[in-house]
Amino acid sequence: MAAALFAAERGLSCIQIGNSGGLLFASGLLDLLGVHPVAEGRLWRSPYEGLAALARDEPDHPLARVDAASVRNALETFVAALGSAGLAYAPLADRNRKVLTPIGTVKTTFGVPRSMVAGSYALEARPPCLLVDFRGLREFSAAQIVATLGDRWPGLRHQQIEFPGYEAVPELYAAHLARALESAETRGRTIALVKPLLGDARVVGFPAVLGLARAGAVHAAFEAALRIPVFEIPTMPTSVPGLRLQGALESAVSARGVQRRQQARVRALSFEADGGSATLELVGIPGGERVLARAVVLATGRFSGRGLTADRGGACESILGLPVVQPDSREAWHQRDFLDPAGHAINRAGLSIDENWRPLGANGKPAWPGLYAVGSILAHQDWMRAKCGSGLSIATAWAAVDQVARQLRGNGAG
Amino acid sequence: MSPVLFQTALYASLALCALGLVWRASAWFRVRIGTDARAVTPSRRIVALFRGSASALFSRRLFAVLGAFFLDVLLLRRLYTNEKLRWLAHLLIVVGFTLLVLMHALAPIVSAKLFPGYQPTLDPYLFLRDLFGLMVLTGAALMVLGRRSARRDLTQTRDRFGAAFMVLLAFVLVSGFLLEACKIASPRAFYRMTDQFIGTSDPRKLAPLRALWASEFGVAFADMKRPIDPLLVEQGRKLNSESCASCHAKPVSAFVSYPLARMLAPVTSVLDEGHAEVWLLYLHVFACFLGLASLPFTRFFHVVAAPISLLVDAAARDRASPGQGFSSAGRASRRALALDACVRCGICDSRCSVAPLARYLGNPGLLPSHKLLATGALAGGRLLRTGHEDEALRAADGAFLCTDCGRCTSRCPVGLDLADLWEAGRGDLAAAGLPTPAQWVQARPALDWAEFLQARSGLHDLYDPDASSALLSAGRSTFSRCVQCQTCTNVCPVVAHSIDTGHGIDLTPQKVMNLLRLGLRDLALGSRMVWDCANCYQCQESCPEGIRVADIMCELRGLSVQRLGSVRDWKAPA
Amino acid sequence: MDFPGKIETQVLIIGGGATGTALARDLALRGVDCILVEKNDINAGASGRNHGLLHSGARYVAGDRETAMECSGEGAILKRVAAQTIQDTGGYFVAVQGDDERYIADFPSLCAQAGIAARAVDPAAARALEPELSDRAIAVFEVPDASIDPFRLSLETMAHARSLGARLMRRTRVVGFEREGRRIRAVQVQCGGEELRVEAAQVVNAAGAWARELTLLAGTPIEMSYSKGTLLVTHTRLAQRVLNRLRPPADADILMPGGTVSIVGTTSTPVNTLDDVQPTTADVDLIVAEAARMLPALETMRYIRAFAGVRPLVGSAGFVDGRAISRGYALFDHEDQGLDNFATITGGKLTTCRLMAERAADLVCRRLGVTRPCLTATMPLPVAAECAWTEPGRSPREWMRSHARDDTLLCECELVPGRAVDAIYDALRAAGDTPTLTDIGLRSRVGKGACQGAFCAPRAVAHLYKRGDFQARRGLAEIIDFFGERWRGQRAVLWGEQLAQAELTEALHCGTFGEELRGEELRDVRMDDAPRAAPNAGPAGKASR
Repeated sequence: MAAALFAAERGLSCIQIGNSGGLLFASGLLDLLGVHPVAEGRLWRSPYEGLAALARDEPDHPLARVDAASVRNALETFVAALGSAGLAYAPLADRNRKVLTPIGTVKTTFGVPRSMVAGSYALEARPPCLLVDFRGLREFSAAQIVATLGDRWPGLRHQQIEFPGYEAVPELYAAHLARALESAETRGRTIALVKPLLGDARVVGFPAVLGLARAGAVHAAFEAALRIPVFEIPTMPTSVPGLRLQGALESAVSARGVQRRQQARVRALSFEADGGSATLELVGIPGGERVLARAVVLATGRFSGRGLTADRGGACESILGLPVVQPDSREAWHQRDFLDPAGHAINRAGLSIDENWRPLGANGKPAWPGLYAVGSILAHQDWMRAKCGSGLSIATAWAAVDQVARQLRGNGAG
Repeated sequence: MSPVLFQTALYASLALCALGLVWRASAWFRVRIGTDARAVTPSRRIVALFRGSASALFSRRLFAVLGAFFLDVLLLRRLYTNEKLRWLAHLLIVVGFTLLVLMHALAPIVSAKLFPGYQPTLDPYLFLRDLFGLMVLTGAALMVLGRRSARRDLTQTRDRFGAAFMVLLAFVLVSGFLLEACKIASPRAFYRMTDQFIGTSDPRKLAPLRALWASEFGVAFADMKRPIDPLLVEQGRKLNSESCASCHAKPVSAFVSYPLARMLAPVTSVLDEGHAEVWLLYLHVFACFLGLASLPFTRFFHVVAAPISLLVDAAARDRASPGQGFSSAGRASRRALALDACVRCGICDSRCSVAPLARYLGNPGLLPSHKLLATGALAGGRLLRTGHEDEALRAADGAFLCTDCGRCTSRCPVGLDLADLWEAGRGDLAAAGLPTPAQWVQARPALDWAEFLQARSGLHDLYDPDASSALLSAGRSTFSRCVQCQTCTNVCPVVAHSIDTGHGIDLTPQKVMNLLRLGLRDLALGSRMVWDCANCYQCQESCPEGIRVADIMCELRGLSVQRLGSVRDWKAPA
Repeated sequence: MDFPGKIETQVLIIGGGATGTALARDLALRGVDCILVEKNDINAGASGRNHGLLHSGARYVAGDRETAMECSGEGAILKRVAAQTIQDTGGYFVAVQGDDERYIADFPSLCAQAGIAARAVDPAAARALEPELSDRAIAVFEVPDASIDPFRLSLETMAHARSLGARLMRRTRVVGFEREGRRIRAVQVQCGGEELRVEAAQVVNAAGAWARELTLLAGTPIEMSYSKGTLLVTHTRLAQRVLNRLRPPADADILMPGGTVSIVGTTSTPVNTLDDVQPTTADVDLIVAEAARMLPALETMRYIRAFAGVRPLVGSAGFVDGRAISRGYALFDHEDQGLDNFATITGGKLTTCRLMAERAADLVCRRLGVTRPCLTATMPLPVAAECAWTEPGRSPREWMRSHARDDTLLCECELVPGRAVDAIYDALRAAGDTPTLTDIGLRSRVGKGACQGAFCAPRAVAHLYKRGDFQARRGLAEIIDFFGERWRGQRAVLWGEQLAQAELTEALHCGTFGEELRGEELRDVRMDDAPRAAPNAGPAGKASR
């Protein structure tokens, strides 16, 4: 998505293929770099300083290949595009922020939606704070968060209320609540239930259900009515912030003229030998479709996104069968301990690239001059442990699109 | 023909027709379709009629109604948008017949008043009469041919005496042409006329006139010498212009009857002898009266009911939500009206989304034309009589297969609110103990159905008899990609709005998928979620793993009917 | 757990597997007071890591007729007295092209000699009933195999024993024996950091694979070797019946219907240690390749879990082929080793656990002078409500039958309601225990479905916080432990769709929740260079932020 966005912003005609289902699992937070080295579990206040250390220690890491200015530009552009599509993020500072998680841990991240940023401030200042919970929202327990953090945050309290209109419903789902809160009446009733419980709280947290398409307005309405800062806490996937992110990106990308083929998949991808253009055969569209492109950006993700697939013999790249850097045997893929600090070796598997973001073929040379690879499909990174997922996707997309533009202008390497 | 006889027959037919109309129309206030109609008395419905009409006419909806009158009733606009050929045929019939009635049948009170000096034997009336008659015949022929088209071979066109009435109509027209032909060719009529207006019927004296009339007016004198002397014809012309021309134009313009008369020339004398004119007249007139009297009792009552239906529809459509503005009394009457206003054109059938299933399942009961008749049969109690169980069950199944897409309603040329009728019909079916699957499945909890299936199959828990089949819901690979992300449930509008647990859903899409994965399909088959599913496809389109959730729900519904259907051990009430 | 300083009983049973629990029940039925100590939880050893196969015995007719006949007889008894734990699915023995023809030819008569009903079935007919069978099957026999839920069996057996007066001490480890002459006077145990002494007239070592360690501790060593067996769990159930390979027993011969899944295995690898025995990718590959010859679908199947257990093989200290050793059980009275009130019962199969317990109980009762007869062959095992949640497919049915508004599903994969978790939790608390999420997982289907705990662990923990059962940071620790336990089973089967699932899980638990940092992030929260936000000057209405 980021690649499509950046390409469109540069005026390159762009068609995006494949569904954005992976975004549904997003938490809405944009990670740049939280932990490095992964094995030590060292946290960074300034992700840019962390990136500098990363570049020194792991020169093969994809983020090591993007200079700081580009990273900054990429993230700013991305966040601005989201803002233009109605999803506002807190301004990006040079430091990481901390956010509460539903199980009571604290997450290091970089880009925080505006509806959540008051929580980051609250985590630093630790004022008296109320966490509101809805009966029936199963994966979220304000009691748990308070219990887990309570010794470090004495002013943290929790209260459970009924969600207006859903009193008879056993199980609540975040997306439904978010939509319901877009109605002024439901909002009013919710606020009426929360107000008397505020006590001396100077900030109040909710699970992330404050609106779906009109999240900004709902959040603002809550703050106006409760007269104190309000923040959202990310919930388990599929979460409303993930839905918002998906919606905003789809809208931003479409608004910039990117054609989308959401239900399609690439059946075959072939290249002209002289590097002229690539042909993509699509399935999933009635009658099929064929796309001709001068450059192709592979941003297909890892195993859960089906960019990489694995059988008992090994991992391979799904569309072209590009060589995948990976441990020699499956026994080495995963540690015995799930939370082993070193992380699992298979997470670092992926595509190797040259300095121009082109994945290498079997002969160690770029597979095709116009083929680029970005994001989590790249080797030598463990985004889940380093907390750099979004940054990885966005920054590498930026750098690769930059390269694409150069190629199309004729300045790029062959 | 004796005026007394004529008058008597006329008034008798009119009276019968009027009585028939009243009787038929009364059904609109008596017949109860839909459970909400049970509570409404006929008098309330009549009152609602007056109130509704008043409110329609004394508001801006009057314009909609007037517009509908001109465009839909007179010019048959809706028929035009559906089938142009049929529209043409119908227009021919309507226009031809109306004008024929006005100009010819009602000549003494219409044509004579409008056109002083009207004589039926003058132009343009000669021409017009034949033209109108031919229009009707042509239109009727086109209609009959159109009905034979294969596309609508399943359409329910059965009605009372419909064919007979068509024959009667044809008879009226044909007898009319014949009558005129006879009159044109008849020497006896000639002599009668000359006797009355010239004073003689002596052939020798009338020789010039005879010559003219034989050569240009088609009279078939048996004793006419051929070739006819043109000088005589010229003499005759002079005489004609003095005595006859004021009432008689050359019948050549009667372009149907005149050739017919010429064809009849050889047998004219026989016809004359046999007073063909007379009995043809009697036949023609009495056929008309028969048609008039019997009109309310046949499908051609639609000439009254259909325009009313179109006007009512115009009055209804102008409201924000069509049909919703009607009180239950109004709706009840409108449904009963629909039974009469339906012209059996079959356009609804040709537009029905599930029509192909009629052939595939061998149950034409799902076609709108059949459903309309079934609804009527149910309301009249006929469906509930012993011996009609099969018909009743097919009607119920047909009602179920309707997807409520509304195409039949939007296309109906006579403006019937079919969508409302189907909904009401389903309520009546349920009340009669013949609920649609969505109703009878949801009448029992899912677990009961599961236990029923277990008992029937005798297989232990978790056994899936379809494991090797191509069924989506049994296939291993269907669910192997599910990562339990709950996206399907989160985007499901049915779950979002199911806040009344008394009547709400019992499962969610994710739970249904998991039950299937666990091999517990029996638990899912009878669940409310499966039957409340709106088929919106949000789940399937949003699933990040491409699992065909909505398709599976459809399949489960089909399987339910198939496997749970035997519980519907329905007997007609004693 | 509250006990007085000195604990007394007639019989101390060590080991809470199938045998130990059956023994406790047998003795309790005979009116003998007993205590069962278990260093972990019920069925922590091989009893909880097997196929769940109630053998007809046909597998052993060729090499081990005694075991075959024991299985046959015991199978019939268990089907009568413990019907609720058994799914009488029936079984097939299937030979495919290339298998030993002579074995196939001898099979029917060998079964007959052992008194096992084996009926020949036409392979095409068999395939009609079991569509996943390979079309290269050349011979099929039908046998009375069945599927048994070992957890429910042991849990209900123990519940019955306790209702008759027996006591259970979980997480209680034996650390020493006090010997006096030819008798053990007391046994030293460690429970939750506390040292306790149990005085018992008789001590029975039913510790399965750990039996040897205990005999060493007692000074009466026995010879034993260990064989690791790995089993795989499929995502969905493939077959209705038990499917056995018709050939001399080898690896990956058996595919069990495990309720809503299928369990396929097993292997036999010699191991030297009992600690941290886990399935390897090599084990998994072997099983898949071999079993796929009988059921080709296994080649492309999604597996959700692999687990490994250690078989105690009594007899030779070292061995080459574990399969050649008898699967029969061994009962040691240790009298020739200088103890008169010690006994060890080990080896054997799940199917024969009742018989093993009976023999051990007979010995013990003889020594005690108790003459009441064994009742376990006829006395039905009562259903215990809180133990029924292990039954696959039961919780969806129970929940759909009726549930209160607040009784929501905590595990979506297996549709396990909150009240199951509550019932188990409360039952354990009532017994004086501190229930963990892992305990709940063992006694229900929570975490056993497709997500393997990724989603249900957080839900269950949230639920327990809401109930007030969990406090402070306990939930975080529980999630980490529970999921860690589930992980041990998953890592060897992570390819294809299960790898995609695991990646999503790691993205959630590590990427978002940061569990691998174990809460260390909290220490770093206050950042000195961060502008302190005034508490009521949040983003609302302030453009600059």
